[in-house]
Amino acid sequence: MGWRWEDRCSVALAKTVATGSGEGERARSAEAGPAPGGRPAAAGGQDWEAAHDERLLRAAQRGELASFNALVVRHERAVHGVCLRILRDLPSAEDATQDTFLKAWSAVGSFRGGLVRPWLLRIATNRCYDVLRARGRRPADSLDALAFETEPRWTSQAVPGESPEAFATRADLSVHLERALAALPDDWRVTIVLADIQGYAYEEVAAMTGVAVGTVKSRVSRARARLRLALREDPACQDLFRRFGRLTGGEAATGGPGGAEGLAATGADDAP
Amino acid sequence: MDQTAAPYSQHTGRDQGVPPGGGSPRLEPPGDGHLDTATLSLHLDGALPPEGHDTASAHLAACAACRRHRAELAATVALLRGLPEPHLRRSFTLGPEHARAAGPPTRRWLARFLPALPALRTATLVVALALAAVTIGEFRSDGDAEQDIASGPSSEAGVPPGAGDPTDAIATVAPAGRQDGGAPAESGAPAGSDGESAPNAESASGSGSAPESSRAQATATEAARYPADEAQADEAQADTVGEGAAPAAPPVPAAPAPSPQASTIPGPDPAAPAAAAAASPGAGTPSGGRPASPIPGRTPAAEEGGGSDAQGGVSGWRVAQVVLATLLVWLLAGVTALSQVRRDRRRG
Repeated sequence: MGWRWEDRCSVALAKTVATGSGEGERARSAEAGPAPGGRPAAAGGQDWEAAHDERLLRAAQRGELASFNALVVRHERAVHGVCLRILRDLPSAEDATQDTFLKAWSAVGSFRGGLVRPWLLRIATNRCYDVLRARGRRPADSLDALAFETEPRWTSQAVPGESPEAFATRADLSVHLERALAALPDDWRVTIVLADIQGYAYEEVAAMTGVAVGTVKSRVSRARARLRLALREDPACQDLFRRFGRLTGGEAATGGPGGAEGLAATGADDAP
Repeated sequence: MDQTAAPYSQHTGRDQGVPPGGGSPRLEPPGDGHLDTATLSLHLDGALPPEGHDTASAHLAACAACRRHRAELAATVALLRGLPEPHLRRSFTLGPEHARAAGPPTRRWLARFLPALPALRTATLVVALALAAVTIGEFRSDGDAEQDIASGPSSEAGVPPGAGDPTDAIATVAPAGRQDGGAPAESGAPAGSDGESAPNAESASGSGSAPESSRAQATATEAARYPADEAQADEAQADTVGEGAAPAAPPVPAAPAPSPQASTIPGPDPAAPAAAAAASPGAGTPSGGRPASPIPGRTPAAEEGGGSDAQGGVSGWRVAQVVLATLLVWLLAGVTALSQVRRDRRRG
């Protein structure tokens, strides 16, 4: 208790270009452009990463715990980040993360190809929903819900090509954004965490959360609208938000309007 | 569906999600003529259908308010995308205790049978020996048949002196059951020291077409030697088990999971010679008093097979072989899988 988002998010500015697998993917997803549009990020290392994941997973299926633990190391930051943002509570998030990997280990035999991280995040999302259900639905905007008992530390990374000023502004705004994020309804928050923070396409988020693609689109747009308003109308950060908007120009930060590819693919399935 | 629409925006009042059907998205809210958040959000992601995208782009080019709205949404998304990842206070790698608790399901399932592994190994050996015995027996029976044909008609031609051991495997033995004294020696022969038993077997087969009395004598000698072989073979426990079990185990050859039965086999291990002797009372007694009756009486095994005729006996070899081979394959698979599990355990 007594420890709130603002304090926690006094971001440890590690302005290093990310190295290591988890951070590498993180950096890529940050520059990957509008992934929710269904366009795969064509980063060169991604195929290799996926192939490496697959190799490790096959070994894990043969019962090699060391290989599975290599997978854990590669993905634990992402899984933990998702759990923490969904559950907003560090001990619960750590438990959920551990449960996710235990579940993954016992279910590794039933993994049927595909990418490893979405599979892990699907398990994590289900686990988090279980926790949320068990908790009972808290008033989402209660400040109590935002209080943490222990302090997670955060590391912010510069998006490649970002100016130092934009980076600093973003770091400051992150504090407010986390707060607005924590106040979202659970379903919206889960969706926006997977779609915009983790950068998965609508279809992938739909597969992970088990809802229709149209529902995902709807939740994403609503959550974005809510977050935008929170940033824009909060007196503490609206100037920052405007400055950030000018610095990034919006377009540059998200890779510009989508091209023709992927447009047709997303039109077919919509809200029920 | 989501229950609460954002109440603040002048644009989100009509924001009921993505238009159904996906064909023609509602690009312009009728109220103020501006693009709604859903459309702008999809436009940002490039997820609008082409015609919708073009229409929206045209509106954006003309409308500064919608451009600003879109830019703010884009900034929000950029912020979200750049949110820092939390530091880990600890690692979530699984320790061996986790692995054991949760392990891959197939392994957990198999691991329950780990205690049966030694018994399963023994059973595999036993079945392998029985199969070898049956194979040799069949080979020899063929040989005898030819010999009998060559030397003229004899009693019930074609049934081998060693027919006692297929009785064990599957109850089809013919007249040769009478001289079953040779049977346990036979079944013991591959298991024990081959070098010593082989001459025995020779003499037994040699006596196959001989008069009954001499035949009985031959089996008696064999039986006399048999316990010696046995004692000698005691050095290898599995071998002893093989001898003892060969008569005992295969009568239930079709059982797919023989570990429970097999596990009982190593138990009566010391009693194996006794079992062998009990299975062949006809041979067991003559070993003490050599001049045995020419027809040493029917053993339980012989009586089992007593009903079948010579032809049935010949096909019985095949049946026994097939059954034993199938059993052996299953046992080998089980032993291999369990050994793998045990290796993993030790490593993990």
